Amino acid sequence: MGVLVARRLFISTVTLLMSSFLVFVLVVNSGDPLANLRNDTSPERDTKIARRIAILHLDEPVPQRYLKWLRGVTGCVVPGRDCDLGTTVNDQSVTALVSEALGATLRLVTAALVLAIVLGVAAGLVSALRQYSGFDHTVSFTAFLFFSLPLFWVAVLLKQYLAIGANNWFAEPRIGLASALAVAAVTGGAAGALVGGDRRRRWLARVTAGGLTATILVQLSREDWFRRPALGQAGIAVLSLGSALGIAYLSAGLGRRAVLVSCLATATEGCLAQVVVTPWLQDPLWASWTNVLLLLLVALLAAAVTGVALGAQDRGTAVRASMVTAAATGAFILIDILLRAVPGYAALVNGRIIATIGSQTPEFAGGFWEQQLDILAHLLLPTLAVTLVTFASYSRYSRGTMLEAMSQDYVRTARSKGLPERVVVVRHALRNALIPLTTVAAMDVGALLGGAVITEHVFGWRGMGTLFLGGLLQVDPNPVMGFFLVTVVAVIALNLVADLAYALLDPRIRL
Amino acid sequence: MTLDVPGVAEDGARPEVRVLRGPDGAEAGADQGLTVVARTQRQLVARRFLRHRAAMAALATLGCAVVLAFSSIGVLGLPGWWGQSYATTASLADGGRMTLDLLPAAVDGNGFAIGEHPFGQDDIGRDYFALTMRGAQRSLTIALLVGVLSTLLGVAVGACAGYLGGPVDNVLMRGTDLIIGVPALLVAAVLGRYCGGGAIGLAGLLSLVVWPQLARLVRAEFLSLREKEFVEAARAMGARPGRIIVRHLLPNTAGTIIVNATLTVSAAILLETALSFVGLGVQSPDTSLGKLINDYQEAFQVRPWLFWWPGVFIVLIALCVNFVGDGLRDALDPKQNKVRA
Repeated sequence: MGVLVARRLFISTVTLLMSSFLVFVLVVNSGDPLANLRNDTSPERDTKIARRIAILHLDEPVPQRYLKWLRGVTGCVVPGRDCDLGTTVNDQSVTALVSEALGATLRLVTAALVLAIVLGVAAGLVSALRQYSGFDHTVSFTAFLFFSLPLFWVAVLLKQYLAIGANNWFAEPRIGLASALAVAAVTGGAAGALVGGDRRRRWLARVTAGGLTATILVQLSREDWFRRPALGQAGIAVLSLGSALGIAYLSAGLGRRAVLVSCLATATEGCLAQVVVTPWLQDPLWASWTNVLLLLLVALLAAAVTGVALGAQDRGTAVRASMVTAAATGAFILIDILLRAVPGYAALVNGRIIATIGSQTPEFAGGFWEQQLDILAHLLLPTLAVTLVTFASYSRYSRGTMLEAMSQDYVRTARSKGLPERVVVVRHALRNALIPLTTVAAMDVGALLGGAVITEHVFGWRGMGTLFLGGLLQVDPNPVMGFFLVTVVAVIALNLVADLAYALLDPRIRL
Repeated sequence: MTLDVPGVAEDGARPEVRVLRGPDGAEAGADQGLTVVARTQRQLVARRFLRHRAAMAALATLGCAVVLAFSSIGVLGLPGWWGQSYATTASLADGGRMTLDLLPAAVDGNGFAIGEHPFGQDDIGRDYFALTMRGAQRSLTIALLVGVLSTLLGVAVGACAGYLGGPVDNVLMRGTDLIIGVPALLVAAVLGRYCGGGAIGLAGLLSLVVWPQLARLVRAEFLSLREKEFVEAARAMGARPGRIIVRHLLPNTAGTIIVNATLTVSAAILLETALSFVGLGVQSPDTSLGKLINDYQEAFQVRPWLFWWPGVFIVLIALCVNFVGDGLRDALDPKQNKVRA
């Protein structure tokens, strides 16, 4: 394996060197970097031009300029030297610009990738299990539609219509009966497709889910919940106990009492802890991600102990399921805290909650949780746009692999030896169907970074994409090369990781 | 009821339909209402494609869109049936609002009407229908050109690499790695600076970005096909590599190539519009659907139709091409024997 990694790294480095030289030459020759200075009428024109020539080393041949850039870049890898990605035409350090812009772009790409994978795989899984059903056809058509949507168009659409509509709605947040029923119809339809089985069972699921949705929405609207949203202790309790039930079912089935009890106990512990933790985290003195992480570790530890104590003979499964439950409960507590910060945030931004410009409000004055909300509010629409466009390929792909897995002999064997359908689907089919997704996801990161260029342009982020586009339009090679370097290194590294992960996940593959 | 029996897949496909007959000369199974018809591979594919409802609907829609785009304002100097030009400015009628009305009289009291400016006018009074059609023409031309050029390039490289193997394969594949490792939009954006804003030049440059995918697929198929007996037989009879590639290997790869070419067209239309949108693709005075959206981005609040129409056309074209590609994939899949009704 070591030999393989070394070989791959060597080949990748050579490819990277060649392609970076190619891109460098292309960018340098794509126009006149002095164009905007030539029309300058001010008396300092000549000094300005001379300065820019000095900054970009325009008086040197292109290969020499490339080597200069490369020397700076090697500093990022070789210890003891400074990482230097060159300077822009305006004499700013690209290294500083990149490190500043990288955070926003990574946030966008990661959020979109995770959301697209989770939603896409879920949709693909269900439509494969209910092949040729109404749900399957709907998902297929939606996937085709999303696949054909131009990202920039969706982004502008969300920015110009959804954002403004949502913000206007937040000014007077009420849900009428008609809209509640419309939402209920959608959830009901989804529930019916999810449940499957005979007609009676499906209608029961539809009516229950739809009715529940409509009731909750109308009730929330009546209590003016949308103005000061929070899950509250009751909400957290219901959600975490419900997810404990779901996690226990998916991991071991409800028949194995020890796992179920341990999950429920973990959720209860979480709900009890919430009473102490929430005020603690809301205190500006304590609110920070370090403390959140610390608490998560404590929660996982407590869950593991609970699993060991109550797991009986199913100790391993109980510990794992309890830890997942603890993470879910923690997430609900976090969501609750964030929701409680909404009214304060809304007051700070004059009620326009959904932001459409930038990656955060400049010179924002709110506390820690308001700041997190600010980042989330700015992240929401760009992420939604990228997710919509990427969702399609994951749902199609996972549907395909899942259908193939379900027709395999080992699935028939699993069924015929009497395993419950849940185990067959989750343990035997899904696990194997997901393996190829590692490769697809790794390849997709490049496309997502390309998508980030478009989204950042639409939403006016100061991210990597803006750096790239601005550099390209000004014939400024260094920012373009900075973006190129980060993108290609990320793609190469992720592909390597995906291949190694593939070998770990699929024992048939030997490295 | 009719059963499809895959016929013998020979090179020169036999067009006639053979009906299997029983000893008494009657069609086998006819007494049970069952006719067994032998069909060649090509007929099977054509049948499966023609019966793919979504693909046929998409093909028809796409055909209408193409005819509309090219016939309405004319092409290559030929006049079109739409009276107005995309370049002439005029005074704004009714604030440039759309005059298109598709709702019947019973709903809103106006009835079906096309009017003077069905898609409205832009801020300097140009007819937006003509502008959109001009943009659609350019975007379609670019997408089709990219489809053809990149397919030719991809097939040529993939075929050479796959059939010849050895050092040729190595060099060609490292070349494709070079391009495939970098996100397409990035290379396309850099290359886009060189086209000078013209549509044809942009098409040529975009093809340089999208071909490696197909080259890899073709190479993979060739690697397995060249070990087959029929290739060995052809070689034993003294066929040169060129003949083996063109006569024996390419027809067997046709499925992959056709499907991929279709999907390339839809990818190209999205890539081109995205580039034109950020200002790196088609430049004034030429226009494209992406550039139209970019040009009128600021006008959406007051004139939303300037945003909707180019977008609708992009989605329509890309969606139809994708559906056709899906239909072709289903039709060409040899494992597929179920005809979707």
